[in-house]
Amino acid sequence: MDLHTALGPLQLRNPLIMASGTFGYGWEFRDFLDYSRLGGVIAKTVTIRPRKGNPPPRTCETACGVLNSIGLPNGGIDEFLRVGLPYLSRLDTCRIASIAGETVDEFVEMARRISNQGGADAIEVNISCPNVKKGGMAFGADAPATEQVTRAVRAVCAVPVIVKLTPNVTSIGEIAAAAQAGGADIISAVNTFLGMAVSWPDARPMLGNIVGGLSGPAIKPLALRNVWEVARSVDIPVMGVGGIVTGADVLEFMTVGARAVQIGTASLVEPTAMERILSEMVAELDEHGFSSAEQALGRFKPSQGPSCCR
Amino acid sequence: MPERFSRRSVEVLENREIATGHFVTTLGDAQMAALSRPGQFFQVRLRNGAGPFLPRPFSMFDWYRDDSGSVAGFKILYKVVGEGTSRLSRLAVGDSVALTGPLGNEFEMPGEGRRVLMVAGGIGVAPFLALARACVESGVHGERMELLYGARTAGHLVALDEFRQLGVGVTAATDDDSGPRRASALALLEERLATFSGDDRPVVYAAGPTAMLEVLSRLCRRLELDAQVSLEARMICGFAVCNSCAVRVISPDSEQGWEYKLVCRDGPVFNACSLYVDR
Ligand SMILES: Cc1cc2nc3c(=O)[nH]c(=O)nc-3n(C[C@H](O)[C@H](O)[C@H](O)COP(=O)(O)OP(=O)(O)OC[C@H]3O[C@@H](n4cnc5c(N)ncnc54)[C@H](O)[C@@H]3O)c2cc1C
Ligand SMILES: Cc1cc2nc3c(=O)[nH]c(=O)nc-3n(C[C@H](O)[C@H](O)[C@H](O)COP(=O)(O)O)c2cc1C
Ligand code: FES
Repeated sequence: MDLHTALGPLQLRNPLIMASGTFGYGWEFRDFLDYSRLGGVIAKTVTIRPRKGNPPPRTCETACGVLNSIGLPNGGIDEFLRVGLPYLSRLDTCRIASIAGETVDEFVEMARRISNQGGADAIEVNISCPNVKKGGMAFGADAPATEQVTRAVRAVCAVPVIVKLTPNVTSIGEIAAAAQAGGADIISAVNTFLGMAVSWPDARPMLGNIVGGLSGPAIKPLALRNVWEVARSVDIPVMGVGGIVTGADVLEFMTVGARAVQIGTASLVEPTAMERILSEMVAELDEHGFSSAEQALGRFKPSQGPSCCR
Repeated sequence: MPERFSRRSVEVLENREIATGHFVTTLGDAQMAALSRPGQFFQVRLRNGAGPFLPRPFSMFDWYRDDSGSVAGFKILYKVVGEGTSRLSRLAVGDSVALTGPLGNEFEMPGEGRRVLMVAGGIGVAPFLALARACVESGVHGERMELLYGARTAGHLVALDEFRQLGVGVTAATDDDSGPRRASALALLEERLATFSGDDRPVVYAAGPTAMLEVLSRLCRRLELDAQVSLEARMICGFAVCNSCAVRVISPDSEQGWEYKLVCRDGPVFNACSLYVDR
């Protein structure tokens, strides 16, 4: 099976990428995964200054998913350049850094420094974290701000720029188009969906931050709709993210327009999930007579009416 | 053999209800068992088609030896409180579960000649049998070890015989009148500490409800006790990726006086004096 995946300027061994925040910087998964069998990895989002993260409890299980209000704890860009990036850069796969700023200047400074140091094959611009007070989703919810930050990062970055979108907007297609207009090479869709959980007997929130972002299989249909909409709104390649736990899930995202996918929560609850999902995907493709992963791309045929497969 | 934790599908060798609502499940993985140290935990995933999405963390309760006497697995002790523990309790011999572990740090063993006081609130007793066994194996006499065990009712006092078999002195109490006496685990501790002289100070190990451990932490600071506590926190991964399991630990160097540590990596065992308690 030919799994080679061209993702704009990036050439991947296969379309499966570890999502940001669910992978760390590389060492946490070293005993579980053979990185040379992954399409790529995205490091935990870094910020200019170190962040402690949000007050606990930070997560809460929900039906087929999990809410998190982690709040981007990280050691800051200096530590990332000193420790995280050197480790990441030695992994035998496509290595992507992720940044989140409170201002355009912060995005620019981090992108420039990562790009200058080298070791990352691309930079993902996280304008979609629902768990931080400043920056984060505020950029990703506004088309002009999305275009502005994308353009500014693009100007200082020698490697491809990926813009990661939030689904917590009225029209994700407009935001995607703004990212494209700003010069994004690739779009990731989507980050987590804002949600909450409460305990009614004591009338208290389940999360220290009250609200959080939902991930896991619970969001797959929502993410799929967002990815389809994004793919229809732009010409640049799209990475689908959200609720993927099986090989068939991957192929569904590829069918509606994703060229590659990211897998997050699945790897947290099952550290070897990437290997399983890859072999399931190959088996599915095989069974349906496909000889390459790229053959599965963008085959969506809504005009032929609904499926009678299930 | 892997140096660190691994992930495998592991067979249930035995599943036994040892008291109402309390189960001991024996899991047959010799390598994981051989790597496990007292205080460490395992992530148990119970999703097999249906079942909860997140894995459930459980402490290593004891090693399991087969008929030839070699370590062939390990046991977990748990109380049924929700869907995950309920599913676990209904597994049959031969069923398998997805296990990741052993995870986290371990109890520091008591120094030579030190007395050991294990303070358990309710199901907090779970990590102490392995600790007691490891102490015995490292030469600590059973009579130098005590379990001070408080639970809601007599029905919630479990595994007492296992501790007694190791020679551990057991003092048990309950919140109601169903047990040997009415007291909390902390009250038992304070009472016992009063009888120690200055040069025979015990090492204290504690696990149980957060409120109990917070009070114990204050007590330890006041009395300058050498104490280790095992903490719980909501988890997703269990191997230091997701940052879910943060707890506040005293840090004089930081602005606020505390910093976050991860229960799954820096714990579950912490120095009792280092817990940061808001109220
Ligand atoms: C390091 C560690 C070791 C533990 N060791 C033991 C043990 O040896 N024996 C034992 O009986 N219990 C132990 N617990 C608690 C045990 O994990 C919970 O009782 C169990 O997760 C409950 O799952 P449930 O589906 O039955 O309950 P539910 O209440 O339905 O669970 C809902 C969610 O809350 C989480 N949750 C519920 N209670 C706790 C808790 N106390 N701590 C952390 N997360 C919780 C669950 O994991 C799940 O994600 C330990 C917890 C931790 C963190
Ligand atoms: C615990 C946790 C932490 C996350 N941290 C980040 C992060 O730092 N940066 C980011 O861009 N996305 C982060 N995400 C979002 C994921 O990368 C992903 O977009 C989302 O979880 C949906 O995919 P999934 O259902 O496969 O997890 C995080 C998600 C989780 C569950
Ligand atoms: S549970 Fe994921 S970091 Fe501790």
